[in-house]
Amino acid sequence: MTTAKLPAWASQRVSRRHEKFIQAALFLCAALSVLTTAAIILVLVTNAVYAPGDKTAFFERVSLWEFVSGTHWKPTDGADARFGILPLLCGTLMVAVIASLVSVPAGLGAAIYMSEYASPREREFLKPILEILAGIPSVVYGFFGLKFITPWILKPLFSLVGIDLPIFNALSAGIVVGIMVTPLIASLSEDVIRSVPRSLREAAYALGSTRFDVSARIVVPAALSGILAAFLLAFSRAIGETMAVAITGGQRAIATLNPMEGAQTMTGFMVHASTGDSAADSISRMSIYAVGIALFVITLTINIISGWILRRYREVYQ
Amino acid sequence: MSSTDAVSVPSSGATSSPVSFISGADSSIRRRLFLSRVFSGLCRFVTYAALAVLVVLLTAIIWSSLGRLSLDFLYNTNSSNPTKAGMLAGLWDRSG
Repeated sequence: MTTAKLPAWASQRVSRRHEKFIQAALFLCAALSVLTTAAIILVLVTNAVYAPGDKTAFFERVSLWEFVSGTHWKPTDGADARFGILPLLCGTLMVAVIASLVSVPAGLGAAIYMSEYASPREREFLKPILEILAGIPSVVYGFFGLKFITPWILKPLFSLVGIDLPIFNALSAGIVVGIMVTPLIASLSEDVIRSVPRSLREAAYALGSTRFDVSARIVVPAALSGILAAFLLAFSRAIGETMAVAITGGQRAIATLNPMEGAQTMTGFMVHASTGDSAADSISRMSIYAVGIALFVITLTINIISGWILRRYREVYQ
Repeated sequence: MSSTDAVSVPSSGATSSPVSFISGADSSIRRRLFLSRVFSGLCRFVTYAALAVLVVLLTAIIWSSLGRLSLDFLYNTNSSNPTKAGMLAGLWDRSG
């Protein structure tokens, strides 16, 4: 079978059509994520802020001030229902801060070790294993925290100082989430650290620097913007974590910063409420969307700060 | 160990090998090398601690599931009797 060869002008036209098709396909891919975000915002706003038709939105029944400043969260208490988000905010921030205290030193240390100290062979062995940690479902981490970390590690430790730790506590939830996000920080930071030009390291070694000097005073400052962005992404991830926290931290929404007590996070409440038996247009169900908006605003703010840090402190090498 | 870390620091009055170009009296360099070793050990520790967590996690899960994993658990669907309930509905069909 023979194929007729196209003249040059026809070939160019086909090529241009292919270009346009590919461009349109790529635009659709990009637009899909934007449309998804817009749809999420629309769903949240039409249920929390302004509801069209017969429905009444959450903020049409509860004032924004009560929502932001209230210290009691009791959405299912009927006439005595209270909608102050501070207990959920305390739980969420407490878990995220504990998770950061666990994951930032561990993740950064692992990143520095893999990029600056480990041999290529050791690195090839370490990195995939660390990434396995990132691939474990969060519900498994939840049960790991509930069945292992709390009863086998934290309870015996606290009993030494005479404290009876409850089985559901924010400390355990924070540690579990910290373990979960450690690979994220390690992997992102390691990529950033490895992208620092080799010439900087070689110059430092030539001037008599030790590995610590090179790591802590040359490489980490040079990669600081990426490392900070990785921390903020991990913090954002810790705030959004749901199942592990819901299982380990319990469902008690109390405005406290004591990590030895149980804590309900914003995502934990959303799971709890959406699987409950409240009516679809009840205020307790609508409160899911209000909490969703608060969560969206928090994570969006952190991501914007992360992007700003990345741009502001980026070191460009040629 | 790096070339910089490999530089030996002779103890006072030591004349043995390897050849060192660091003065025995230079405590600043000794301190820096010590710091470098401590930092290296710390980074190694946190990296392998993460691996240890993975091992502990897998061990805890396997230990907890021992005696409960069977073909019945794989092939059975939802049941009000927990000893007869299986995961097939979750894997294949929500309705069971």
